[in-house]
Amino acid sequence: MMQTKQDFVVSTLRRQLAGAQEEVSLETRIADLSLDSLKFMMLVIELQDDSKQITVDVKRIGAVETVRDLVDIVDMP
Amino acid sequence: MDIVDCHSHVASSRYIPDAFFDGWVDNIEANTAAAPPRQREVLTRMFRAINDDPLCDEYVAQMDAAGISRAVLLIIDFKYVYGEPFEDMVAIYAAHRQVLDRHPGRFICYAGVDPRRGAAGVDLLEIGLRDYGFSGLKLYPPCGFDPSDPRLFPYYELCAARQAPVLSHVGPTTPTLSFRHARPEGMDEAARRFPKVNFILGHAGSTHYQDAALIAEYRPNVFLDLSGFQSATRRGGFQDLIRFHRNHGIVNKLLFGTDWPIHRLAGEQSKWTRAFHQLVEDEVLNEDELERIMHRNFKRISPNDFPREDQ
Repeated sequence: MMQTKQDFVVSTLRRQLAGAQEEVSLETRIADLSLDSLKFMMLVIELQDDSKQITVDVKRIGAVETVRDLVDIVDMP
Repeated sequence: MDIVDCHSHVASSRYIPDAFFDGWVDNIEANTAAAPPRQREVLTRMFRAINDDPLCDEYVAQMDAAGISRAVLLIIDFKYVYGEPFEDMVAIYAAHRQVLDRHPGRFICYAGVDPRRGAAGVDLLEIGLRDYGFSGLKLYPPCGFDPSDPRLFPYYELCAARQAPVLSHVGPTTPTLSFRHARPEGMDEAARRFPKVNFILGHAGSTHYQDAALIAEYRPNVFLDLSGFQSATRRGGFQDLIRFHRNHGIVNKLLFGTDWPIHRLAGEQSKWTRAFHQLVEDEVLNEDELERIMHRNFKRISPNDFPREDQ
């Protein structure tokens, strides 16, 4: 089964949260997760996978408040 | 409420060289426990992307969304660090003038000059103020000079004559530059010798802020720019920072600033103005105090851009 953009973002986010037992839904606020600015940066890096032609609209990162916002700025063929 | 942003830059590698952001990438790498593959390449690409709005169209859209009516564009003279691209500062001034003309009434510009240019640098400042309609002087001491260096006195005399404020960077910056001259007390002697010049300590409302607050409290002509507060919001210490200044009785000395485009990855301009409005909601400041920080203090020290009847 093909992975959806949403699944990809959430699974990458869960990896970045490694071990933390936190609920993650589309409405979850990024600020409420145990994700400091450095970890958030690492998450954005992991989301940009050239081999799969996955890109992130970097100029919109500043507007990201929820997981849904993050999904919205990821472009996945 | 009117909002004036006292500290921003045109986002372009022509004015903020790629090498500047490469130093940031070095720091992120050094602070990362387990670096993902391709980290450097992706980070570099991200910083290039946020530093690409040379005509300020994206910036103005964000100002509109944030309720910011005007912003100060600061030009940095990086000649003695990055060399050739900064040899011809007049061309850089002219490009900034085009941005001012493209967005009438939205921007104020401060001319950047490194005092090691000597008399030619004073002429350059004069050209910026007289021919390009700039309003102040921007200094970047991490390039390797002291902001109270006597070589700067002719510049300050010119600023006094023209009622032009001086904004000087305070605090750490990209790691290839020197932090030695970026302490708030570096500005003190100049502020003492030139009481008619208003000196704005860039970022000092949030960086080295305890030392800076003392200088602002005891020098009538020293003001603190709050840009860099974004780091305090991320650490959860923003409201305590503002409480600190309020308890020192220096609300009249604080100036709202964002340092666009530096904090662009952390939030849009509307996020930052919301953080300040929240200060009233949470009773950290009253409405009058917020008004002073967001625009009235800056207007008071900028008579050329804001004649008294406009304040």
